[in-house]
Amino acid sequence: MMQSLGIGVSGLSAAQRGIEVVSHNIANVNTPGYSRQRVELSAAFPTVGTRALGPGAYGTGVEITGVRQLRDTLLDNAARGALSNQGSKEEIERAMSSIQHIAGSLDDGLSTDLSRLWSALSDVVANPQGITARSTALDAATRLAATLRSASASIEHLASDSATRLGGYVSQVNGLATQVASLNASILNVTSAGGTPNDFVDQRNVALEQLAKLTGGEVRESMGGVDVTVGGAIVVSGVRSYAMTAIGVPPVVMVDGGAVTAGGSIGALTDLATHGLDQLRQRLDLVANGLRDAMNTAHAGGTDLDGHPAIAFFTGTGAANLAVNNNLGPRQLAASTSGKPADGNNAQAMADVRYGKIIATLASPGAPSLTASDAMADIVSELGQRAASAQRELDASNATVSSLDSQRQETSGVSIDEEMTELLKYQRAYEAAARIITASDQMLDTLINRVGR
Amino acid sequence: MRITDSFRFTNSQTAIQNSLARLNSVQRQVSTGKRILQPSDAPLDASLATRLRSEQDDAVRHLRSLSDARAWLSVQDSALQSASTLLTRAQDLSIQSRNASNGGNGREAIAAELDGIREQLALVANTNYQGQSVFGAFSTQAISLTPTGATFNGTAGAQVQRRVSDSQLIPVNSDGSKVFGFDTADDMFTVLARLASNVRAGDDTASAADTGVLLARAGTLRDSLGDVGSRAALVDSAASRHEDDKVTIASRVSEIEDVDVTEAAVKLAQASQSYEAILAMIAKSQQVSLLNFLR
Repeated sequence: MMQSLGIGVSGLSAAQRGIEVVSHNIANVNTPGYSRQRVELSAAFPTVGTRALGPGAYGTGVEITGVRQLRDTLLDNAARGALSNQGSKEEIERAMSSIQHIAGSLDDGLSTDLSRLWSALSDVVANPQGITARSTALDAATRLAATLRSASASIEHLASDSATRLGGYVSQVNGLATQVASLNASILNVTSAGGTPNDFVDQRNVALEQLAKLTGGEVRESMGGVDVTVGGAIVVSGVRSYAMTAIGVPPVVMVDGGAVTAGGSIGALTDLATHGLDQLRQRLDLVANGLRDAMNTAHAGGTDLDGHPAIAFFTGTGAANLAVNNNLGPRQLAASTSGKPADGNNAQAMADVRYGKIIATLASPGAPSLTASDAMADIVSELGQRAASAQRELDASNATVSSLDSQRQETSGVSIDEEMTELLKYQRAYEAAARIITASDQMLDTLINRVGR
Repeated sequence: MRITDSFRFTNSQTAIQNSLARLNSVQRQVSTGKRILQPSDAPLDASLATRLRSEQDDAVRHLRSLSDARAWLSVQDSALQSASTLLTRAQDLSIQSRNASNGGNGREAIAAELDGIREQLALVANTNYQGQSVFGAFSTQAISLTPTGATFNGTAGAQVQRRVSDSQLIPVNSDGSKVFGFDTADDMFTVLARLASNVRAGDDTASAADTGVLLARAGTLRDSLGDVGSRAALVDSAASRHEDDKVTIASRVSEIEDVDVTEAAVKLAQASQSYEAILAMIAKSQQVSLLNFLR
């Protein structure tokens, strides 16, 4: 008799605990990284039959064995890998989409500046003594040089911008590493006290995901927590975390004093800051140097308006320094081949640089094989292709992340409808258990108060 | 598959985002009229368009240079026509001078007219276009008259060139030293001066010889005229070719870069319809939950 009262009470508390877990789930329905929890129940250790009770094992009610999280650790690992990839692709895409405009807009850019120069020089041919035509040609050349310089500056800017972003990310990583280490400690405490540190594990998982996205760090379960390594160097080991720093130009990422090769956002940024756009810069330099050499050679064949031999037309090495010679005024433009002021044939030779294969390629830097216009068109197409493929890769990476996310949601996500049915289930169980207690109470009442009257 | 609430919300959000992105891209295409707004929209097309644009710029540049060339040639054409007329008149006069009925006064009048012709011919030879002599390259005055003839100031054999196509340069001047016979023993002006003095002196034999030389010079003039004419024809055909190119290239650029308006409008309608549909669907489905039915 007293046994059923006890069984009733165990049912009551099991149902109560179930409702508590349901309410915890519902409260966290929108918490990022939260995994739904379930009460684990089992039948309590039975009483073995005695002479008085008769043979067999008699149930003693329900026992709460724990609160379990529903999660798939394999998916967690896969998600971290995908996030690391996503972090890297995001940075690359951001850089590429910002850099694709350096060659100017499609209808007014480097190409247009080139055409302007040829056209201005051809006006000098028509009117070799016209000062206006001559200064227009010099203006066109100045503008072309300025556009090339600003393209080169944009690339430089991208590199320095990447270094700045890198600094921000590194301090985020340090915060996260400290957080993971202290969560490791909390989890250890709860576990050693015999508890289940479910919510701490969730929080740690969120931090680990952010770490993975930023650094591509790898996570290994270890005694009393997780260890995080970035490029082989330990960032978190149990309850200790090690500081990450980024120093120097171009930046080098160090963990606890040793240089490491990180992945994720930080890896992509280090790469961008170090040599990401070297190739593009080199190509712009080839364009600038090719133009400078060809124009200077053509210019050198002439004589200026006052009969003096030609001076250099362009000066400076590389796209960053290309400029029209400071000493070159309209009168110094060597338009004449014969030395006579009315002769515009050398201006024609300069305008004809348009048809010369004057720009070298990276593959064969010593042998110019492209016209300036073709080189520009190639740069436009390369920039476009890199931006487009960065976008495609980011899209693919996003798709992977979201597919893994929905797979995880399938196991770990909270469904309100489901929780409602769980609530009903435990509510009914609670009512029924209460009913058992009432029935036992009535039986005891019968026994104690009514018997023997 | 187990579906959860946050999964549904995330999916709805993604659906709205994707649909909005599509709508935005079509809207941008319609409002700008351009299919390619940045190189990454279509890298190969963007590069092709860049190449085509520089070809278009080439065509425009050639057309400018051709119109300049045409002006040079037409100035020479009319100058050579008048030189030819003047020479014909000089030949007529020299034949007249040998007519026995001419007295001393008559010969003097003829000689004076021959001197006048020589001066007019000098003006013709010094024809300028935009301050540049068309017959004496790189100088402003092709010839200067002297009492017995003239000196040539230009550079013999020099060419004033204009580009007519990517691969072709043509000279737009005429070499005055050839046209006016400075490359022979007797240039036009020397012959005319000598003729005038022979007419004055009544030396019919010498003037007959000079008439013969003038005839040869007139032949050279006609050749030059023909040469100028054929170059003008070349310029005209090149110009019409470049005009065609300009139009063709412009239409190709537009084909590559511009939006097909009808197609874009249809796409816009589709995109905005699908956006509305998604919004309506989400608004309807997200309202329902077990909570609506529990009492």
